[in-house]
Amino acid sequence: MNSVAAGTAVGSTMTPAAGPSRASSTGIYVVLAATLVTAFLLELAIGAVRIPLGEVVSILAGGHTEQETWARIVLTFRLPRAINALVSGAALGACGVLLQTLFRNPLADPFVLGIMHGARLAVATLVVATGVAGPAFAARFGDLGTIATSAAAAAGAIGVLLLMLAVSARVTTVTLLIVGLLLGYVCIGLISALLHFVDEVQARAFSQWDGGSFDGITRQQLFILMPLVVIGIALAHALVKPLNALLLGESYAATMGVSIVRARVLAFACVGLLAGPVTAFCGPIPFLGLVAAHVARGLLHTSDHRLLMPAAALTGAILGLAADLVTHLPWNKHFLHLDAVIGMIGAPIALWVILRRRQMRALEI
Amino acid sequence: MALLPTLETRALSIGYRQANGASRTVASDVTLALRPGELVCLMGPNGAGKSTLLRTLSGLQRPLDGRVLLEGQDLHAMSVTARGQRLSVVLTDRITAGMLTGYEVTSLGRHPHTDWTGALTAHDHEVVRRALDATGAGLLASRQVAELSDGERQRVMVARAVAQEPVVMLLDEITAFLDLPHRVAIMRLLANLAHERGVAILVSTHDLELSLRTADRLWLFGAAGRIHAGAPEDLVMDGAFEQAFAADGLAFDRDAGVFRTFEPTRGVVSLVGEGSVAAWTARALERAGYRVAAGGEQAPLRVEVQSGGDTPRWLLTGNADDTSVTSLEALVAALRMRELTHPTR
Amino acid sequence: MTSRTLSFVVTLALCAGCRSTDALSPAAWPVTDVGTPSGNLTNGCVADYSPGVDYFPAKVSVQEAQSFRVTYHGHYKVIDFVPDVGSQETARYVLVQCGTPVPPGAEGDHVISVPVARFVLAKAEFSSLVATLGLQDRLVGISSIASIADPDIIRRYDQGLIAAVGSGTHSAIELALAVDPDVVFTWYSAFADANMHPKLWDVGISAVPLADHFEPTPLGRSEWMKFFGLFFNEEQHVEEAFTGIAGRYRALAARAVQVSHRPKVLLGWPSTRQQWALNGGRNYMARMVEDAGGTYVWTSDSSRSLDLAHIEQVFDLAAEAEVWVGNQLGHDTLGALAADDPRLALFGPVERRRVFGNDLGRLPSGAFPLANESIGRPDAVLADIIRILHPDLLPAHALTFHHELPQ
Repeated sequence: MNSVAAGTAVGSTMTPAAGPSRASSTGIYVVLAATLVTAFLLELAIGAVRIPLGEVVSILAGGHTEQETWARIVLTFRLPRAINALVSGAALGACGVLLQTLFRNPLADPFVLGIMHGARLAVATLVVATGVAGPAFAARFGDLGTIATSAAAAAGAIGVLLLMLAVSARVTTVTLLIVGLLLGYVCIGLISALLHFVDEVQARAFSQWDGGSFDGITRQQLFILMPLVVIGIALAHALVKPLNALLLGESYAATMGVSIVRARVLAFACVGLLAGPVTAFCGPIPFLGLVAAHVARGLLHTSDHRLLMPAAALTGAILGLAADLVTHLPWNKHFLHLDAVIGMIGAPIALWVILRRRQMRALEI
Repeated sequence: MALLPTLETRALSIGYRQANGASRTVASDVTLALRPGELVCLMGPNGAGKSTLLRTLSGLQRPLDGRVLLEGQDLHAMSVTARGQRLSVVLTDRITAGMLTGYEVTSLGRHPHTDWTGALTAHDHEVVRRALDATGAGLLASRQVAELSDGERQRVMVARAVAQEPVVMLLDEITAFLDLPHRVAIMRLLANLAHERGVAILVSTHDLELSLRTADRLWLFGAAGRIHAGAPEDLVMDGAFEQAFAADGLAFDRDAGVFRTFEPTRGVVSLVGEGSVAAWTARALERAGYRVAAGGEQAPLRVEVQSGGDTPRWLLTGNADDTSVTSLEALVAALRMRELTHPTR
Repeated sequence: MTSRTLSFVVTLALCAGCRSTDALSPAAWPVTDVGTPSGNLTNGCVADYSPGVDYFPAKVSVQEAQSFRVTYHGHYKVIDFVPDVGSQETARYVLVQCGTPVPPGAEGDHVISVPVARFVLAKAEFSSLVATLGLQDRLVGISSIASIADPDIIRRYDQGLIAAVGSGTHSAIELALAVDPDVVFTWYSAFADANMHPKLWDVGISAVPLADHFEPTPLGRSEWMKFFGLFFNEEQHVEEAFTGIAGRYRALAARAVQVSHRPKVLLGWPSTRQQWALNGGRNYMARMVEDAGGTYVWTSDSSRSLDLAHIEQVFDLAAEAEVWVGNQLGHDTLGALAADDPRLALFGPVERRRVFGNDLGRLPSGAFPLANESIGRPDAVLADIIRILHPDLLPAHALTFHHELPQ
């Protein structure tokens, strides 16, 4: 093993001369980080109740405010969902990149491949099996309930992943997507069927996240979600080397020193850790991972995961915050759903990214 | 002095297992050796099993029986990293790493040598640069793979395999997408790598001419899964070529060192002439379906090369009027006309 | 017989048949001679119709309700349904005494024979009136058993005598058809697409949408018991009942009018993690809070039924609210409420520990008595709220429909 020569920082790009220069990718990161901070602040500042931005900053800094309720609104209502949007968005962005490389498919993401639905099905099964709803469960078993929910969701996510893996050996990439969608529908159907065995309170608790939403996450749930996502994203970054090798396909990767089985196991664990709990606490959120991954690629013009992974996480976080922001604009009389907003914001961005590249007709990974 | 083989097989059986549990053997009891500094071309008809052999030798497929040894160690028992540090491949798989540059793809070859982060040292960068230079892919370094032609992509993949600094390289049909100059260049490069760096190289190819001229040895995949190994000329002279391709119904002309593309069916022509003009006239006649009479043999038709002046002329005589032409195209046309009006049979 | 003669005879026969279909209703009411009746015919048809006779000696007069009017015309009564919810929809029902002819010119309206013998009730709020008016054996369908708290109806449902028809969707129409009702009482929505009654009309079923929830006053809403009673000729019963109710209600309100302090009241409940469903600023519950000597914190005037507001906004308003009335999520204690959603613990009334659920007597299915009985007992509901807001005014009153959430 060669020792790391002096003067080369860990995490250097693969090329000193070609591809995106370090300067330009650093520039992009700076812009992304700044956008993230702005989005986070806006998310805290905008909502059904008008609170001046100055007051919001003051509240965050721990200062006093004119109105006691404002501090509570910012800290109890808006801060949890802002953190949720940030963390969940980052998780889904990283998932998007992972899945697109693992399945060699530019349209892969946790929703399309049915992974989120598998996670939901697992939670529904847990709810029915234990006979109590999530919150009441939490009241009885405290943290255990939240942990059990996350574990079930992660297991469900990984279960679907294994199924998709088994199928992927036999079908083309496009067919794989169709299989993923079908699996998703099967899960939805099973969830509906399960709800028949459940009483009114449980059904209501469960259907509260029929569509995805960052709202209403409890502190307890955040304290479980955040560390899981941090671990998951760290793991995703640790997988950068084998992921880059996998860009050439599994045969080449195997001859370059990548243990395919180990890479898959770790990658699946990563997706389970990220997509599972996010789905468990927010419901199924379509499209976010897909868009974040492609926007990151479009901004950085590279497939190098070393640059892509952090960018996708940042982009995912920004997209999550932006979408949540739009659903909470004060003049919203009709309660725009998060899914719809992600579509409205994400699709044009993705289209712009795709169509901007004149020379390439195909969507490259 | 015979060097210890880099890669060798012991009683190897290759093939694949089918879905119903049965296995299909492509070749059995193969004992071959690839030595350091040797460039070996693997040839044989399509479907004989060249790719299966390559995949088994590279560790991508398990053998049905027997062993493959890499520098004395069982290849399939080695760790992926150890294997990757010593063996690299170039396959026919299509690459879709669209947005990586040529440099980045080449530097992927350093994978087995870098730590878990994959960070490249100055030495790694040096190796990559040299690999790009050696394969003539320097201009491709800053371009993205998606923009490259198939042949250019091929070269980058070879550069990557070189950057892996292997002791043995296995290449599958790499001349397929290249034009003639590039094909020659690649084979020359591989020969250099073998002879100057001591890398053991196995290339599977359909390019007969090039193989016969550049390879140190040939492995010839014959009928019924038998593999003949030896120097190209030896294999030609002991009839191994004919045997290997006999099933396809091709005839191999030992003297010319080529496969005969046309059977002489139209007749015999005696040829009078010398030098390269006569040689090319003979080719044109063969293409037209005529056999050139051996020395002293009588033939109903006669072509005489008249190389006086700037342009050569040909005189065709036979059982009809004499014809004089100024190009081989016209000669062949005249022969055909004669065939139509005066069939010689 | 010539063909001309034949066709004449056939036409005559057909006309004779026409005459016999003047009387509507497939019901098997007994058909009797009534002469000049002294009371409305609550379970029979007229055999000896004679024009000029007033077959509805007992009548209702609409005082408080704003969305329907009634006029009487001897053997038929006309209801004009004029809901003022911006949909510009109106309807006219011509209720014809069974056994008497359909009045001429009534073809464009909805003609229904009364008294109704078989009906579907797709709005559980009226289910207590079924018991009050003794109509149990005429009820053949409900929308869902999950919203019925009346044990009698539940028992009949379990015995298979009442069908569940759902609401709003195509399957509901088929199910409604299957029970062959004379009338289907549906839930009236301000959104045209959500309404079932036009689709039922299309397939020839008499559908009558109930729009009590759009009345701006509690008494106006309760007066819909008269609307309901019209279909069963129960005018006498409902007039008396309503007079009593109105009297009691006004008396209670009079006592609350003089209070010096009008506490701020929050209504509604969190329907999802983001939304709070609360009565509109011009809803009858808002008026009831006023009548009870309170002030409703939600002052929207955009809607009369339920408003959906963002939970954050409600939190802001609730900061000043002293009391929260109307949680119907089934929580028994504040602890359970907070466990469901920790943010609720920070709401003003929750911190002040003055939270009242309106689902006392809740069944496992989720149904609770208030929802079924409030039309018939607005005075009891008002008494509850006065007791909650001003305990000193009604110290002896025990809460009928509400329960306090202890810690």
